[in-house]
Amino acid sequence: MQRRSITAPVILIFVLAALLIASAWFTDHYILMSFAVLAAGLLFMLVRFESRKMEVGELVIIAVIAAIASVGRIPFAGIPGAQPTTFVIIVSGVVFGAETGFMVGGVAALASNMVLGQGPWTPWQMAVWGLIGIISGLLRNRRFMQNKWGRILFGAVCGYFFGAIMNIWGLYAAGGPAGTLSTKMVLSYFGASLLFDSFHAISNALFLLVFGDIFIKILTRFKGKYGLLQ
Amino acid sequence: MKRFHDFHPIVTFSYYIGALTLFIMLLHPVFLAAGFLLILAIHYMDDRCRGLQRWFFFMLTTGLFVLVLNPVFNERGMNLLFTVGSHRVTLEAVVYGGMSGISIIGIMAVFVSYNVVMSPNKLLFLFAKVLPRFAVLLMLTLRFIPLMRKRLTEIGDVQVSKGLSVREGTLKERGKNAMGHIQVLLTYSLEEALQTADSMKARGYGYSGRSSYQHFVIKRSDIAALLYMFVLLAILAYGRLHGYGWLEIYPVMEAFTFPRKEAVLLAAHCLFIGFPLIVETGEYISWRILN
Amino acid sequence: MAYIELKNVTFSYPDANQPAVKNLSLTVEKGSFTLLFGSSGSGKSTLLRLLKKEIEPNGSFSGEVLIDGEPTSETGGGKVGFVFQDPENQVVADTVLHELVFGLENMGLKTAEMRNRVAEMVHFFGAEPLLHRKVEELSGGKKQQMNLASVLLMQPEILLLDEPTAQLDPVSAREFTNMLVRLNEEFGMTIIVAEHRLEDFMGVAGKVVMMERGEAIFAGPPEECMEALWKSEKRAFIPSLPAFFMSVGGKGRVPLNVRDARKWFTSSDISVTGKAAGNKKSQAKSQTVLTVENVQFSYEKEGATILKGLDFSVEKGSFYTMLGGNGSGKSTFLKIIAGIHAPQKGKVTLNGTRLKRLKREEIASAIGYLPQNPKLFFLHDTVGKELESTAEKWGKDFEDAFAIAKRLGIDHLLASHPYDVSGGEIQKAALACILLRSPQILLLDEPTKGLDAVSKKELAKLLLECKSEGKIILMATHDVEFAAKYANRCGMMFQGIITSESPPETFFKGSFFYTTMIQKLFRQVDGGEAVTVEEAVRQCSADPLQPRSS
Repeated sequence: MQRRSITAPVILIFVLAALLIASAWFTDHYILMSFAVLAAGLLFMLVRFESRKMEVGELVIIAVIAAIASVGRIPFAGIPGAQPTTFVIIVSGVVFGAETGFMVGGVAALASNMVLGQGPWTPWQMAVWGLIGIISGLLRNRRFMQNKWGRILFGAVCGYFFGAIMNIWGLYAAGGPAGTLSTKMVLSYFGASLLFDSFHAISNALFLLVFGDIFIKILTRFKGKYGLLQ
Repeated sequence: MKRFHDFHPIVTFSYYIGALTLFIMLLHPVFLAAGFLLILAIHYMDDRCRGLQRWFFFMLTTGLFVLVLNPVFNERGMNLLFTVGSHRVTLEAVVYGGMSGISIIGIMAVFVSYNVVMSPNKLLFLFAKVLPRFAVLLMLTLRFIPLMRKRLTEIGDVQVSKGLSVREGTLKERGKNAMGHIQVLLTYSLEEALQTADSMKARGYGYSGRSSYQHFVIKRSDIAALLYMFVLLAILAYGRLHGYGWLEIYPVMEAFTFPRKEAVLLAAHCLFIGFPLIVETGEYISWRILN
Repeated sequence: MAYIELKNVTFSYPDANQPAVKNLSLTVEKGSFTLLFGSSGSGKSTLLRLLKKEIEPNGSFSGEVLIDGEPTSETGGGKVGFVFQDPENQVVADTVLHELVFGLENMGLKTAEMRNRVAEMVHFFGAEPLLHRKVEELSGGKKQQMNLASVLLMQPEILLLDEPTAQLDPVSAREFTNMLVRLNEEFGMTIIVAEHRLEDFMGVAGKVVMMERGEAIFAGPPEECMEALWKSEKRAFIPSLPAFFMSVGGKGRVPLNVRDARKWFTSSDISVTGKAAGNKKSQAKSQTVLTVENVQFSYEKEGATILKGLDFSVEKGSFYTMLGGNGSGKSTFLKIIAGIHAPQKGKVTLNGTRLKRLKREEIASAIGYLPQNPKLFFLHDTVGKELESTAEKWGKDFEDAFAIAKRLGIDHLLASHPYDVSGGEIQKAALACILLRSPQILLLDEPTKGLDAVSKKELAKLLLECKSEGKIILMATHDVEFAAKYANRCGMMFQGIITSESPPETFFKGSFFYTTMIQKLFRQVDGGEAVTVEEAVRQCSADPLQPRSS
């Protein structure tokens, strides 16, 4: 156990270094390179997930929350732009920490696409929801995340963050791998998604405002029930 | 496409990864067009393109969007086609937009086929080999998703009977009620899942070395298929590194020629993407001869 | 020597003020079939879990648990298989085959070995066609059989089952019970099962253990247990046949199934003379509150039609039970009346107004719907808060809410989480919230599912009270004994319409399978028209000295 948890980061550092050096050569393939970085990151988290010590209950909790995150938009069918997925991932990160937050986000994206149909967007969704989970987990002990308004602000930022990352794959599709992206194009592309991202940001903030505390309370209660309190 | 479906998941998975890479890497009008036609043929053979129809509108709009986006925002290039006001529309931008468009449509078509052939079970099987714990997590999640959907319906029914609907009332009420449903679903499911965790423990999960049931066995034909794909990919990678199979547009658009070496590469490209077609045709012929 | 032995076992959960299992000693022979029963929260589940190391509860433990002479803490739980209550929750995979091999994979078996075992097991269960099906598509009964198979594949020597048939309909429950009997008889499997469904299990168990507040207050053969219970205040636990036997002072061995009961009855000198129908008078026609005319409904546009031109009406003060098999449309019917779904054709009229003309709140204030699973009812994390918010929504005082809670005997639970209370209590809590809206009609979907005998009796009392207040009780149920005892009208739903409808006395007399144990006993007796124990006693005790007419 101990040995493996050290090898994983070492491998990651090597891979990242290799990718950085490679990207100096293949400057016109920066998007492919970013894709490789993303793949390396996902792989690293997966290897860590495999090797760390873990209760069965934790596995089941991740699966339950990920499944809820991926079906959560059903009751919101009549409300444009609202879906609770990001909100659920943020609160799981806050309660269970970065690694669990990442798994909830990543698995929610992968599994719901396995049901609905995979597309080129799958890895990006995995990455962005995984990252939101990680960041919520890493920041959970900071003072502003302990504060309700801090979390609400964070939720709003996550809405735009999600949009920004998803735009990257959209831009890749639009601009292709060669360096034809002009600043104007990037700006107008991001501008076009701004309205949609704002909906996302506002709904995240509202969910955290009205339901944030109760969801955190519920998850904390089950953390105890599953015997996962450290 | 029975025969292709029956390959070991590692074969089908490699095929789709390879096909995606080719659509991303070989940006050349002829290669893209040939690849796209072959994918269409595969869809036709599989289900007369019925699976593709569901995505048709999305693919068409995305393709057109990408095609138009380039000339609209990109004025670079020497071969001026025409100008709109002060905006230059260049051949480079149009060709580039066209290639990107076909590339993205091709990628989506590959994914649509992937979703038909690579059932969740096959992907789970591949994960179980390398990432056993993640495979169990994914299996659980996939099992929970339909269960959660069913529970959401039940919750909706009960809450509606209490006068709390997600379809009536102001936006605020609807949003609040909908989130209430998610809250009940979360609490209820986590409570019930305590039993899932116990049932896993009671069946010995997490104690000693876990094996995995071989739902699929590697046969000689699988190895042959892997070798076939590997050789073709090696040829294509070699060609690509030497500048073939790729139309240079910027800084200077290369003259549109098609040297013999490029033709060889195109053959390899078609043999790779058309692999499922070859397999099925071979199967069809051998059936005819045998019977 | 005893195979499983518990010596002075006491166990307490961390925050409990009373032990869940108290100074309990028990022995179980190899190859025996033991039934654990007692009201909810009497410690049955805890006791079972103490026998399976992997799912041992956390808390303070004293005493000794020996399996085959060795303490469980040393041997582990490899010999012991465990089946849980809910068929749905135990499942970890989305296809049957994946689910079956899950335990085998955990044991680290080779694929060839797994294949052999699965092949055998599938053959035993006759489940070849199900092997590659999605778990979602299986019925509850089949799912529970799959869970059993998945445990059996690991080849345990002892099988522990925690209320395995509580969530199943009577037909699937019987099928499951027969499977257990086969395992016990053909393979000598040692089985311990905790159950409320005593009607089925009393007859098959070799030994029964009754638990109360963590103690085993009786352990021995079922016949003796019946006699002991008859002398105590816990008569509610006695199934109808032995209850009848003892009510009329029957002699000899206590009969536990219809065959033995009939043998005893024909050889006894009890005569059938009196009238079965006693104080149940046919009521004068009162005001019709709800009518349903020619209702048709399907969930999806192209999907199967669930209700096919259903007609129905119900009067003030009725206690109506709707019986019928799985998928006959009972639940859907209740949901239509509750206004949850709108019928595609036909009309539902409440007090002369079309249901679809009413606002959501107006329907909810007149009609209360208690779902099969009351847990889905609660939005708040304590019973008290749920009541409070209901009171607020419907403009009632909290005093009213508290009064109802007190009347239902749940006022001590106001600070509890709804999921932490027993099945009977959570149902009452949901009913309290519904009654607070003071509805005219109460709709209940399978309210007796998984309830112990005492909770069932309390539920019946409450419903009869509501009925006497003039409310309409309409419930969908599989529980024929409950329907026969308390309803004043029964309906049979079959393929989307109500095929027959009458008071329980006549309703059950005509049925062959779908009827009570007492009616099965009296069917071939001349003049025997009793359906419930009370009626049977009344019929037989009218003049016990007169010779039988046949």
